[in-house]
Amino acid sequence: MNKFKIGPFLFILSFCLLALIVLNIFIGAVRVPVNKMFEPGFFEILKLRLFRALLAVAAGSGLSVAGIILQTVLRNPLAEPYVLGVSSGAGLGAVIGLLFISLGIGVNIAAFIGGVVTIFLVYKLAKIDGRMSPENMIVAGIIVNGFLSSILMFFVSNSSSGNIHSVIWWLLGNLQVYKIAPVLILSLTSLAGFLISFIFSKELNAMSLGEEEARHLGINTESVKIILLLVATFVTSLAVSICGIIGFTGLMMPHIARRLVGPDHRLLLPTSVLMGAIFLLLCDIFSKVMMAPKEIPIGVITSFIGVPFFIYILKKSRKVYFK
Amino acid sequence: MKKISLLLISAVFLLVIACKAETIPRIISLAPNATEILYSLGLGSSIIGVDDFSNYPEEAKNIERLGTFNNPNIEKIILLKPEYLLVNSGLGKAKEEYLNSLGIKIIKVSPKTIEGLYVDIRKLGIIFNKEQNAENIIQDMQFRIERVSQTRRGVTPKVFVQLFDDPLVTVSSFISDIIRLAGGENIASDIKDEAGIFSYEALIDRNPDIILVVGFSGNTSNSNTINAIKNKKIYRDLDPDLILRPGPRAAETIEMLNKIFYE
Repeated sequence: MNKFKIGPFLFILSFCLLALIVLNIFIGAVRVPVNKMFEPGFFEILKLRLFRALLAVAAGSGLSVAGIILQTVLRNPLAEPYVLGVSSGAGLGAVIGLLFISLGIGVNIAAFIGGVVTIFLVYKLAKIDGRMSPENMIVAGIIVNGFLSSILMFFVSNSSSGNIHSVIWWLLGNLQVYKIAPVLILSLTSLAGFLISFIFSKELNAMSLGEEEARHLGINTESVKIILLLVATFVTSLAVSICGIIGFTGLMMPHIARRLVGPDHRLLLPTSVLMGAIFLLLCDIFSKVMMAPKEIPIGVITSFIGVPFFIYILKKSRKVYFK
Repeated sequence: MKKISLLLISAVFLLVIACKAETIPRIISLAPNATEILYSLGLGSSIIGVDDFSNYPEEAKNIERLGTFNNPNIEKIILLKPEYLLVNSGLGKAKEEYLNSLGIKIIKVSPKTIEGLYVDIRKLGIIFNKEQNAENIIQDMQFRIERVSQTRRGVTPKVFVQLFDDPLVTVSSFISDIIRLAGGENIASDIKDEAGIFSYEALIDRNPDIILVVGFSGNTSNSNTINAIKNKKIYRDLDPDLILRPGPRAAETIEMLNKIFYE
């Protein structure tokens, strides 16, 4: 796609995003008649739906940013917060936080620590003789994931039955929040993550060519790498601590966007951010509509769509995605 | 004169209606046992919504369903504008804080013993102005349980409650107290949780005299060293709602179990 079609394309995406936010506000278990929108009961419901739609936007875009960073920095088309275990690590941190520190900022901090420790472990495990192949990374992700989920199940099976339910629901992903604060916090974090990676888009472009090439271009890869990995981990951990584990969004969106606008991160980043938001809004409509008035956890839907896509990428990645 | 008395009568009538209308609370019950308590207190008509599992008494099935007890539909709750929300295990802090902020009072009804059940019934009686009904229910239950305790004879049987066979899942908490009052002893009463996986070795070691198969599984172990199996003292087809629900039917459950234990 050449540059001049990009403008209208991003405009169309933004328009879709707005339309879907409005659609999300009008779809739900209770039918809200338009002429009664401002009655207190209905208004309260619409307010909750607005929070939920905005959280979907924040989480979808944040996870996409994290996905792009991980894929490019680790030079691995299969990298994604969920696949690499960052989500599980953050989830374990958050569950420990929930069970032992109760609510509040403690949960988010515990999630972040869990996420950082996980990415560090996976990174260390995958690096053999200074080299890191995509396959190693995935194996390391599986190992760490398995270890973390055993600890998680230990806590779940030993907590009282009331807690078990809330932890399990939370692990499956849930976009419903009851206050504006978490929505704002995640929105700002995702925005910051987007801006930071956008500032580094030149470095990201260089890195996708290869570490050596990047160094030749005069880019200090190590420090940029660490900054970007921390950004990705922070955004993911915060998203997980607020919405639970929502898998595969960060994997799919960057790939689809790369197909549409090419590998230049200055275009790739805004495109996949918009698409991530759109994707989660769409999934949330499914979650509300498919078995109404019951809801299907959003993580179930994204994984259901995501796994076939993952297999496709896995097959495809033998061919060149990154040089 | 006639006119005045007619006016007076209608005024009194209106006043009575007004008072009545004022005292009818709007209650949502997300706990089957709480639904039963509300009905037994005579508050059935105040219930405007229930969870999917509230199935007793029969009338409760006609009330609007709001989902499972731990994951109810919040939009529907908002729309029903309840004053009180009765829950069993709790909804999680975020949801509860939010509902509180809408002015909905959340009451937990999850007694672990029969005494705790009395406390909860009394509490609901006081909140909803049905103190006398509450006392009557409690007295009736106490009377029936006392009567049961006098009909016990012989040694206390050791009882195992089987919820599921593979893995072996049992329950403790409220049911242990019910079994105790019926004249038995729950061999798994040291499992502090409501439900938990129980070691098969411990089942053989503790050697129950009676096995109550409640809930989902039909199979029992076939080890002949267990008294209950040797003597064919396995009771199936027990209504899990009657046996496990900490509600006003507990006295009935105790009477029934007492018959099983000492027949």
